[in-house]
This record gives sequence, structure tokens and C-alpha cells, in this order.
Amino acid sequence: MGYQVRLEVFEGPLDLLLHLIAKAKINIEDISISEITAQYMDYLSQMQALDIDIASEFMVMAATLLHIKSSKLLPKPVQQSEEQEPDPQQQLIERLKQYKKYKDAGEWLHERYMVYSNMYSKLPEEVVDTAEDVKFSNVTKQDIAQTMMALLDKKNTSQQSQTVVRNIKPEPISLHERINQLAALIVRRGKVLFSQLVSRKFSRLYVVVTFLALLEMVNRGWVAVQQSRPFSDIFIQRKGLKWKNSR
Amino acid sequence: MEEQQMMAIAEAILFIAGDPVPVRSIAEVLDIDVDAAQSLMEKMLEAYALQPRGLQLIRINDAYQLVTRPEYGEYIRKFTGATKEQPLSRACLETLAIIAYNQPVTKADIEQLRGVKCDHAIAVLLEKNLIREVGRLDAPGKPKLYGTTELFLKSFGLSDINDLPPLEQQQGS
Repeated sequence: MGYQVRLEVFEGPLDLLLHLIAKAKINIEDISISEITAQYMDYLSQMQALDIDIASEFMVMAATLLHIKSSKLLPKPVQQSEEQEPDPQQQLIERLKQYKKYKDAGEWLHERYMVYSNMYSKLPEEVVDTAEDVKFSNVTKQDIAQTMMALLDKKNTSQQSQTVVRNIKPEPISLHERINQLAALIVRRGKVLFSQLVSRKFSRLYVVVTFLALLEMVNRGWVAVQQSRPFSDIFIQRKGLKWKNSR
Repeated sequence: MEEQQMMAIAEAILFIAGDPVPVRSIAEVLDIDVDAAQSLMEKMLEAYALQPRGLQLIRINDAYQLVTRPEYGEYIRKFTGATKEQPLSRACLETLAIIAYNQPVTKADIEQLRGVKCDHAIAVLLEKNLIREVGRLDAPGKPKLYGTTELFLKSFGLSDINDLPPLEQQQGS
């Protein structure tokens, strides 16, 4: 018969100790330190034999256990009237009890999660404000034709006129402003591509500010971004962003 | 306005909003006071619970949200082709439990309770938006303080943080 070793994975020294206590079928209060220490050391040496890295926390606990065990073997000096030192065994028991509470609470959370992760909600609806739309109800064919003619005229005259040289100053846009704009957009649409945010002929500065705004939003946990490979489009999805953030 | 009609309006608003809607927003729209809106929403919540619907109304802190019933999650995934989210690891759950019960709390406090480093668990919980930084402790090094988010409440079906069961010590194991 082959030698079988099966090591369970523990979340830390406290977790391991709780396991050993449960295996021994005793209450946390009644732990026998010498027995538990032996089993604890046993586990560590099994890990060592299997060449598993032992986290330093496990070593600290080993030292604590040995300390408690050794101090029990030695005769205690008669306590002077000075403040009594806290009993390390009692301290350990307290820690184990505390830890167990949160371990159980974690289990409870897990069970809730299994139920409630089945619950879905929808993204906010995009309700378009149509009040400012142009009204076309009274427009006739003639109106359209006339407008077209006027436009063509304008184009012709502007072509004839002299070339004017002007310096176009970059429009200053603040990062804060751009974040607000993007937040409003993303809270409505849910997802958007980066190329859509800078699709028109924006200046380089504008693109840079947009990108910085995006980084800031990622940092705030408002959106999640994905890029399948370098230089490809960036997919932006709403994550933690709320209506109130976008206002 | 009749109660039935106000409920219908509130329902329409919840549908459009998708996100949790604060009671005071509902009160504003219906032009009633917040207490009245609150009791209206509670009635509606009960009405939803009694009917065999695919949707239900939930309360998260002072806001209400329309969501699907958890028992039909499987069908929603079948329809959308979405996969079920991976459950959280035990390390994350323990860390989350400690934060939920002790918030605001520092990483050092969490590590003291668990007896192990928690950097990874905290990073995962932050990434999943279940916890957030809520400030810094006025102590040397100004360590960050962590607390839970509204998404945490929603993900675990809690209306507010007081819905957590009391931390109890079970004897033995």
C-alpha cells in the first residue's frame, strides 16, 4: 500500500488550529496546548516534507505555541503584587474564539451570496429629452429648396473671399468638466467605446484630457475598461457609477 | 391621489431608473412627504412579495429597487448567455465579514483578527466594489479605513447593515 499524503489548505494558523481542535472534538476553551502543539508541528513538518513554502505567520504561531507549552513546564515564580501578565494561553483562546466568529459569519455570507447573486437588475433607461428638437411640421418643399440655395450662395461667396490666416487657440477643457460629461454619458448608455468619445475631429489636447478623465473614472471605480490588445479600441463599461455621481 | 395610482407611478419610476431610487426622490415626484412615500413603498414591497411575479421590490438603505427574483436566475443566464459569477474565496469572505462587522476598520485590525496577511483579499473586494475606503485613521501612518458599499448590501440581500445577524459564539465546532 502506497503512502498517501493529503494536506488540506488553511487560511492561516488560526484556521489550522481550529481544524485541529474540531478534529479532536473538543471545545476551544478546553484545548490542551501540548497536544495541539504536537499536531500543529506535525502539520508543519508534513508541509516541509512536501516542499511547500510555509508562510511566516505559521512560524509565529508555532513559536507562540511552544512558548505557552514551555512556560507551563517551568515552575512559575511567585507572583509579586505587580500587575499580572495576561495569560498567553487565554489570549490565544480569545483570538481563536474571535476568529471563529468571523469564519462563521463568512460562511453565512457565502450562503446568502449563493442566493442573492441570482438576482438581476437592469441599467437605467435612457430617457431622451425631446423638448429642444427642431419642429419640422410647417416646413414645405420650397423652404428646403430655398435654404439649400442660400447655403450654396454662401459657400460660393466664402470661396471667393480672401484667405484669412488665423491662429486657432486650443479650447481649454478642464479634466473635471470632461469627467462630468463622460459620467453623464456613461450612466445613460452603460457602455461605450473610447473611439466614440473622441470620434469627431477633436484636438490632441481634447483626446488627452478624455483619456485622463477615463483613467480618473477607473480609479474612482466608476467604470471598468477592457482592451483586447495594444492600440485596439478601449471598451468602457459602467461599474460603480450612480445617477448622483453624474450630476 | 389614490394610493393605487401612486404605487403605479412609483413602479414606473423604479422601472425606468433601474438603480435603487431614494425614497425622497419618490416623495418629490409624487408631491407627498417622505414618511408617506416610505410607507407607500413598504406596502408595495409587501404586495410584490405576495404575488407570484418574476420581479420583486427590495430595499437598500433608504432606496428601493426593482430586481428579478433569485429563484429565476438560472433562466436569466440561459436567456442572456451570462455565466454565474464565481463565488468569493474563503479568505475574501472572512475579510469581508470582519469589515462588515467592524467598519470602519484598518487592514492591520483585519490581519490581527485573521492572523494572516489580507492584501490580496482586500484588493479583490475593492475591485468587486464590495468594500471601499471610507477615510483614514488618525494614527501614525494614517492607515486607510475600509467599509462596505451598497453593492455589498445588495449582493447579500441586506436592506441595511443592521440586517447582519449578531456575531455569535457557537460552543465547540
